[in-house]
Amino acid sequence: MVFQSVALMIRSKGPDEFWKKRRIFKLAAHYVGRRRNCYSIAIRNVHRALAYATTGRKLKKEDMVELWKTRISGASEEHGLPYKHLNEGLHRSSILLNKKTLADLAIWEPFSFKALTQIAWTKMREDGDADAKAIDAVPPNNVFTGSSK
Amino acid sequence: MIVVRRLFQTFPTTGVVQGSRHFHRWLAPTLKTLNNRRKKMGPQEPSPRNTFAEWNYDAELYAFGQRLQEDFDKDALKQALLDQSFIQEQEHQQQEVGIEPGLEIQDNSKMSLEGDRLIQLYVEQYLSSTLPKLPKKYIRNIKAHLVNDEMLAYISKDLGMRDLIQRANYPVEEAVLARSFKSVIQALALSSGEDRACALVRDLVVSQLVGRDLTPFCTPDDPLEELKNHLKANGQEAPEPRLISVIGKNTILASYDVGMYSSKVMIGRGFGESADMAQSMACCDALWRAWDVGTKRKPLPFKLELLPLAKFAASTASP
Amino acid sequence: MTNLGMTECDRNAKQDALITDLKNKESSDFVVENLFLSCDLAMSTLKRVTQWQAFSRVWHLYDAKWQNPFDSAKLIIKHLQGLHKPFYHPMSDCGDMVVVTNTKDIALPGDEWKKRVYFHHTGYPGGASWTLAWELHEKDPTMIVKKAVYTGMDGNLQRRYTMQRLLLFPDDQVPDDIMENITNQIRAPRPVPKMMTEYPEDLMKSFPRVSQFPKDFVLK
Repeated sequence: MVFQSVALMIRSKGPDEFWKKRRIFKLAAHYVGRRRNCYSIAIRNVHRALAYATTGRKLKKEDMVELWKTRISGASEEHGLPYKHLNEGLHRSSILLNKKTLADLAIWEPFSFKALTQIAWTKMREDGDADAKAIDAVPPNNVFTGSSK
Repeated sequence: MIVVRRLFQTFPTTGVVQGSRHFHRWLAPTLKTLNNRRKKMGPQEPSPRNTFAEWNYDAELYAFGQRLQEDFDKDALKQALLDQSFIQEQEHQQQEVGIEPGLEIQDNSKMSLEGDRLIQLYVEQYLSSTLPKLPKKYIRNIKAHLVNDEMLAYISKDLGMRDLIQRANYPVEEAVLARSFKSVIQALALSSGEDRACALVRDLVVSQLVGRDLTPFCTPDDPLEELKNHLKANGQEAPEPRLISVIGKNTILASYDVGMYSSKVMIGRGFGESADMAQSMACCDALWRAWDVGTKRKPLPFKLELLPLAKFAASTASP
Repeated sequence: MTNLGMTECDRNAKQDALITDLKNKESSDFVVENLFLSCDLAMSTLKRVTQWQAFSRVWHLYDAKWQNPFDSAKLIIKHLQGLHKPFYHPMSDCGDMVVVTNTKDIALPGDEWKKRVYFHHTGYPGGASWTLAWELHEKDPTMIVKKAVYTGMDGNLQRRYTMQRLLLFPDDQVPDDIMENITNQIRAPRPVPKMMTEYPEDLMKSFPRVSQFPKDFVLK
């Protein structure tokens, strides 16, 4: 806005703050009490909530990774193979499935997941891994891992 | 502040006038006043789109055909979307004015009957050829789910037929929507042949089964008796239920796992909160496996070569 | 209870035979699968019972004899919270029941019986008390396992409800109605050694010895 004279500048009230406040009130609509009705309180809470939301975006991803890990280890221990051996065995067999996919397979495709644990197990045995030898159960038969041995 | 809150619902999210740097100071009070006036007037009658001044019915009908990628005969489509109530209303108006009532136009009631026959026949033919092992009784259940007023009204509403139908009162009833849909199918059969009409029924009606669990339609009243009859008819031994496991037997969360065996081969497995429930689910499971309607069924095929409807009708009528 | 068309005894025998049969056959066709079917608006009976089975509360038995209670607690917590299930979620109620027997025969590592101290405060001034592990074990032989499980879990609102699913017995005397619910046994991490007193006496006498005790040696 160009104020060509001092008189004009004094008279101009500037933009309508109703719309700015309305933007904040919309974000505070689900709050309780004065937090939703009084602007000066609402804006403080909205700013805090937005800051939480920013950090939450990262935390959510971390939480999901943790959940997938729990699920995969639960499912692989069902077949007698600890999670770390499953992870290592799959990597050595060049089966590069991520945690999300593995967790989904464990729930929805239990037989595919079982086949994966068997491959990982056999691979660890073939490589003669000291840790894997400690698994007391017998490894599965007739599993082909693609190694030359 | 309550006023402010109410305004949230009233005002558009982006009320910015294009090209200006901010909202004018007059905007909010104007919108408030308009809103207050609207409130004062109270709830208004719904205004159908086809009462608007710039409504071009012919163009809309053409667009409707184009949306479905079909070539409709214009008059046939017009008749298909003309409800009985519309003619009655027109004649009533003529009478009031003092003209001898009588219109040259025909409504869709006759067309809808023919369309209904076509849809029924095609859906039955499709289901009995894709689910050949399923007894007729259950095919009828699935058909009843697909070809009822509720489902057809839902489909026609999704196609945007609510505004195209000519009828007396505005919130269109389910029956009118369903009738018009049937007539549109018949209109297509008249315009571009029965095959196109059948293909449209397949794409619009039968496709409602995609991703749907068919087991609720195929659950017998007495599963054990049904399974016995089924096995007897196929020359197999009578079914034998066996308890595989019980989890938490003495708790309210008890879960039973029962297997069904015929000549020592497991043919079905069911779970339930009681042994009876698990047993009947095991019977159902065995039947669903035999009928190919269980959870492991293949997706419905949509590229099927089916018999012409007349031949199918003759084949079902003769025996 | 059932109309499965056979006597109880008959059924049990056949059931056992079938379970072994199933295990040998490993008929992949009939294993619990597709537990989570695609969602429809109304739940069909099939979906209801499959979900009922998937989320059923399994009862596990754990024999604490000769086991380290703190290692055991990790294992027990896993089953109590449902962490051993592939569809675990912290907000879904998928934990199982665990029945622990023989808690009086637990084995604490090293000199923990003498050195481990349990603290309690009544809330009144001067109400603090420190109890040694062996003292606590004498007072209540289930308490050490209970505390190990309780402190092994995160302190949240769910912890007390999870503890309600843990049943502890000092010996192997478990009421029949509880025993009937049990369908699984948790494998104990440590092998249980056989005590000298458990061998038959004639075997003990005939067992070759490197040297004999002197005749005037008094065995305590």
